[in-house]
Amino acid sequence: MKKEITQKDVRNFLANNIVPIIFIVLCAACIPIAGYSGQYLVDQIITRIVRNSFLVLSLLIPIMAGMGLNFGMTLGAMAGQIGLIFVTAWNVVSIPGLLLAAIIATPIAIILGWFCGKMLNMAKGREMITSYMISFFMNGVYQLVVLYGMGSVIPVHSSQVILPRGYGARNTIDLLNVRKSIDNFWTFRLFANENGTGGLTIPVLTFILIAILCVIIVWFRKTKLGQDMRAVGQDMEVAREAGIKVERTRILAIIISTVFAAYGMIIYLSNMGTLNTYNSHSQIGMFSIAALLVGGASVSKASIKNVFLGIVLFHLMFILTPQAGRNLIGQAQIGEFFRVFVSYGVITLSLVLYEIRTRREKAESAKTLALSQKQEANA
Amino acid sequence: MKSAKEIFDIRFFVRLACILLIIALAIFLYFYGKQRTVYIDNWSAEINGTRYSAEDWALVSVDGGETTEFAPRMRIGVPLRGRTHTIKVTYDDRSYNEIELPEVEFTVEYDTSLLSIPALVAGVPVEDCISEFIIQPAPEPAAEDPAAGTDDMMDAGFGDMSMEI
Repeated sequence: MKKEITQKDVRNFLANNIVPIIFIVLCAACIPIAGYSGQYLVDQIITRIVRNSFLVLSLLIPIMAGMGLNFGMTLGAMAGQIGLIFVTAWNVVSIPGLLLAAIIATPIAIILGWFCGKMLNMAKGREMITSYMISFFMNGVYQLVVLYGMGSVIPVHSSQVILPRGYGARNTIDLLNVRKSIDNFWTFRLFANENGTGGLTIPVLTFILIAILCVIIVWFRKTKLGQDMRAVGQDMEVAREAGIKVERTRILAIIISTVFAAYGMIIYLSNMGTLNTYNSHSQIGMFSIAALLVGGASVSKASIKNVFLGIVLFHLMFILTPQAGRNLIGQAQIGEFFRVFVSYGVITLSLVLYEIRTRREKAESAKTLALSQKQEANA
Repeated sequence: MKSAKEIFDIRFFVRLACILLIIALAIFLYFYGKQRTVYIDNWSAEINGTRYSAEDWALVSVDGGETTEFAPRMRIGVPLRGRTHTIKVTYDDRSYNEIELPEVEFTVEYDTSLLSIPALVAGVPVEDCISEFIIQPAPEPAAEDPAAGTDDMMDAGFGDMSMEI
């Protein structure tokens, strides 16, 4: 039977997908203005997917557990950075270096995730703002450890990492020892020239790792713990009545997210090749959340599809706007301003839309309840 | 209150084994992945009071890799992963006969080391041919002090989104 598409369906579709639609329109408008070739854009998008997917995927599990957007993922990013700082200081190179960084980062991420989860359990219903504030607080602790602890208390003496004064990590650390180790481990070229150059380089191993994480997330949803998380996300009290340990489940959701964020940060920084010691982690939290929201996710619902659509659209805009700005009014800076405005704007818009939708749904369910009560009374 | 039997159950020991396995893996990765630089050196050198003159010509291959031709007063840094490596040296004697030394195994202990070819060719044990090589760091520019930029750091970087991502 053919289902008719009503005006209400169209309106609902637009309301539910307004953010991705805005971004598709913006990107479509910017592509001809920027004047980049299709191959260049695809190459850049592949690079961004490889770089950011793991980080954005790490946000899915807390959303599943009803804890909203995990701004505390920056804690995981800090753990990943600490792992990389040690590996760089010890000059452990290539994939063994990245694995060692991941092993060092894991217990730190677990402890930070546990701490964050405990705090969020004390602030139920206000998880996002609490995790945001925790990330600021932990940023201070991180700076204390890295700026004053490394070299003085923590025995790190490499001149690549430590400032000439003998303690404190440098502002910028070159990650030449691990740069693109995963990406270059196994690659193949698409549309290469006859002499094997040009075309698109596909980092196979990184894509395999991302695919494994996607499979883990899909599998995890079907496990007992995954089902518990979904139940907790739907209604905490009902889940508690059903015998689920709500607090423990929520803490586990944050720990898993934090550990994945740490691994994501290691992949991200190994792709970049440079560690901005005091800023990278806080920037990445905002970018990852914005990318997820651009993909059509909301505070209460997100899927793997949203992750990839979001990364493509968000980063396509990042690539296009500076050049579009330069071509349009002769200033690339306008594109920079635009993307800052858009990054904050999209998070604000998503939060507002989520609130409007929640209120509308509540009003509709109240209306339905009132109607059924009226019918019962009449009967 | 849990009894000792409940705490030290099979699950506890499985978890303990996993943690020990991960620690062992970390130690292995550290030694396997640590990169050290060995400078293969064809300068005249004095070892244990004996002076060895630079070779006029030599071919050197480390770990069966690419062979490099050495002239007198040449020094080339080779980045090596792990601790134990091999070196193969071919040189000309005074009658211009090409002589190939048997492959020699050596262990690197320092982050940067110097391996003297003239001493190795003269038959000095390889462990005596290797010494720590300390490179004097170039004078640092005075400016880099992260504390000076603390205001930016406290801003958590949200004001600067121009970073390439």
